[in-house]
Amino acid sequence: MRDVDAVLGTPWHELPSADAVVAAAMEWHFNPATGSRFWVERAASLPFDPRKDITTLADLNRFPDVSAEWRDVPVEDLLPAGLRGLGRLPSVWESGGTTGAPKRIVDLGQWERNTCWWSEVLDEHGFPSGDGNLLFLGPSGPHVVAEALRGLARLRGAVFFPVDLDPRWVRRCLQDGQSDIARHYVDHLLDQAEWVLTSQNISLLYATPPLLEAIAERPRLAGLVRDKVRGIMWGSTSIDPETLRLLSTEVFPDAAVSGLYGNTMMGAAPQRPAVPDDTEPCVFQSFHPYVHLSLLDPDDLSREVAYGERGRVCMRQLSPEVLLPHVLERDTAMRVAPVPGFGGDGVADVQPFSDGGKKIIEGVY
Amino acid sequence: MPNRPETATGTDTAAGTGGAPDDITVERPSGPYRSAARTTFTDATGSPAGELSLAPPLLIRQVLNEMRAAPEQPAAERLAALARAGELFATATLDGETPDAYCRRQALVSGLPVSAARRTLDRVARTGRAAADTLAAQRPTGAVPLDALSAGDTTAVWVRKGDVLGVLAPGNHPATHLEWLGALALGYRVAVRPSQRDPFTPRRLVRALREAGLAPAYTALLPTTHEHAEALVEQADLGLVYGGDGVVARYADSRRVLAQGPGRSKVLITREVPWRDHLDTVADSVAADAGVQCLNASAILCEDDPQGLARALADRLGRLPLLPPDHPDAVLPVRPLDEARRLAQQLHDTVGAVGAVDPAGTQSVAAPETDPAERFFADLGDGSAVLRPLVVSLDSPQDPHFGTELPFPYAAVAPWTPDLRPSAFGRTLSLTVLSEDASLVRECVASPRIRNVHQGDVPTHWTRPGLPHDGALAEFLMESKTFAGGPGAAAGPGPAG
Repeated sequence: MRDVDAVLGTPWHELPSADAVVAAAMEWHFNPATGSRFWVERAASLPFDPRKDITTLADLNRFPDVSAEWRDVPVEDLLPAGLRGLGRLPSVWESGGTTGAPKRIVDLGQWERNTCWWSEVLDEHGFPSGDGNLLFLGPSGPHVVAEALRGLARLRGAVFFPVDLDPRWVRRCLQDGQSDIARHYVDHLLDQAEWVLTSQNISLLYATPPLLEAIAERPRLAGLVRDKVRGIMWGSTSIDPETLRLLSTEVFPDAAVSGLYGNTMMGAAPQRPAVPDDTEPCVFQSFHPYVHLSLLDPDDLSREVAYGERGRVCMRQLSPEVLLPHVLERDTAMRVAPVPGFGGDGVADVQPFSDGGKKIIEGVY
Repeated sequence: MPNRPETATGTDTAAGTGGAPDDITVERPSGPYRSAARTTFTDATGSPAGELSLAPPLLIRQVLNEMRAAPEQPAAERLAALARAGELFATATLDGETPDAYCRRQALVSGLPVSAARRTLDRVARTGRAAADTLAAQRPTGAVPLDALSAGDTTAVWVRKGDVLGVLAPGNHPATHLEWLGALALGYRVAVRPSQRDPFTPRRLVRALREAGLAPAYTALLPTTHEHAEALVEQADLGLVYGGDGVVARYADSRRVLAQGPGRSKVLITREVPWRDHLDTVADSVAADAGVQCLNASAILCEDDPQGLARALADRLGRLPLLPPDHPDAVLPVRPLDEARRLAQQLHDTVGAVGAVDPAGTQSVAAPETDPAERFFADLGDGSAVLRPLVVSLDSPQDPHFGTELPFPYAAVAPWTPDLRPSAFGRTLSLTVLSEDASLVRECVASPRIRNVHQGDVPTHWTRPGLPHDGALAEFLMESKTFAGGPGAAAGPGPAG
């Protein structure tokens, strides 16, 4: 059991191969001694034996997408037996509920490991460390992002100043056509941000693109951010390329601006520093090899699109606490070839997937 | 199916200039700006014709802030620039675009006959020249303009209600852009969101205005998505928008946004006037400039023999040639075939059975194997189709099909009886009255539901710079306020209290 843990939990500096992680994850999650009730019971109904037949990343396509079941399965059934009795209870995080009732995952350290790596990527972007505090405009509650940012602040010697936000409420306002209430709520959030920025030594900011745009509309607040903040992290909603360009070159030209793609189920996939020949302004990397992003042909989900092409995002997580072998995300993105220093493909120009059905409301988070 | 006739100039690329597809940039006060977000627009055959830079809301805000922050340009300079810009628009090569190239691009993408753009050249020139006179004519006689105000005056003064006008421009006809030139004369900074059907006219206007010496901060071209168009109106001080009944209803109570909707222009012919003598005026009202303007008549009320008039009008319009938009003799609108087919199906389902009048010599029922809706358009064989004129004969102006407006020559003909009053018209932008009944004409002029009245052989679409279109724009953009200046002002005799 500890051997398995050694592979699944290895720090990202000493990366095992992706296929080694796949094999270890199959052994861990489907062995009745270490796996969760959810997966061990599910194995009986699968037309293959995961511990024997699944050895490569590509083999993971044989799994069904079970993430929707994680809207109502009891969390006890999700916790691998091998992680019980460690003297720690898992944290349980919920997705934002953009596409329906929230999904839940258990976490005993995967997010923290992910955040440590993210913080190192931010160093490469030139974000300040040990020099000023972090203002966070985002949700706490059942959502993981505040906890991740609290950890990030700790890693960078920053005091964490959160402004709380209820994304489900905002989305509900927008769904019900109450955009004036949503706007009022954004004003309320920005008032709180202004109090913190006025009085505190803030050098780092996390906000969503709609909130950054709203900041840009308030001259005094935008001035405070320009004067104080040296590193801006954006995430949680998509942004069109022109708005991103304006935010980083015209509105906040002196701050490092770096995006984060991710969600509760897949973790944080930070923007990597640009390399020569990048055609996309913003390429995200998942927490390889524990989280993989594949770009699948929307018309033939068994086929991965070529580099430079757009596909539907498929996420696979193979951490000690979570096995999600095949989750079709709500997004589409462009597949980008790997670069030195980062494992796995990059993804760029993430946009909400539309199949012509109901429009996805991203809200302000 | 008619073959596509030879065009006068031959076709090369969709953009019509033989070069690369057209790149329509955002025009900021600092110059052209190519956005990272772009979309392809198509010509009337459905082929890609160029790319539009799309301005997200943040860019719209940035540009509007730049416009507001720029210093004011004196009125005399602005008016001189407007006059010069009109000439440049009509005659000059602007950023490499000749007037001919502009007309051709405009026609191929909008699907309008190229003659519409040609006429617009001259109309812009005349409007520019007339700007100063228009300005003076629209000002209340009791008020002085701001730059004529002296410190010691006590007077009504004519001032702007805001600084920036946001325009969501329509694509039905290039001359609609004449309207916002009036706002520039009044001192507004004008940000225009062009239609994908006609980005060329406002681009050429902006180029001409800047070339003519209007300060760059007075104009901006902000292409954006349908979704974000509203951001322009929200961020501007006042808005001018064009659309259907839904748009008009939405802004009906707004003091900040002026919505211009369907014109529902009409012709009224009473018994004592023989309609046969005025068929030219009627047909011209319906079909001039491809029948796409709000000023084109879409309904005819005729007291004597309305069915005969409907038949004669159908025959007349049925002889109009079916040509691609860049042909010099083209007179009808051309749309992508799919769109024409959808429209034809709707027509077939609505008026097709009840009242469509077929021109003499055609069969009302097509060959059994063809789609009956096909009689409403003519396939040009290149992915586009001409929308055929349509005349519908109705029993009464109360018929629900009366008052419909369609994007091609269309007229519903209904009987008029003396007991009907102008209230039977419904909302009407322009009415041509052919009648000896002076009191009826007067009643039409007085009716708040009829915006413009033409008497006699003046087609509904006739206009001249300086005359109100749907009211004078200044009535929306300006207001009078009191200025009582100097210590003596309060000492003079005032009203009681």
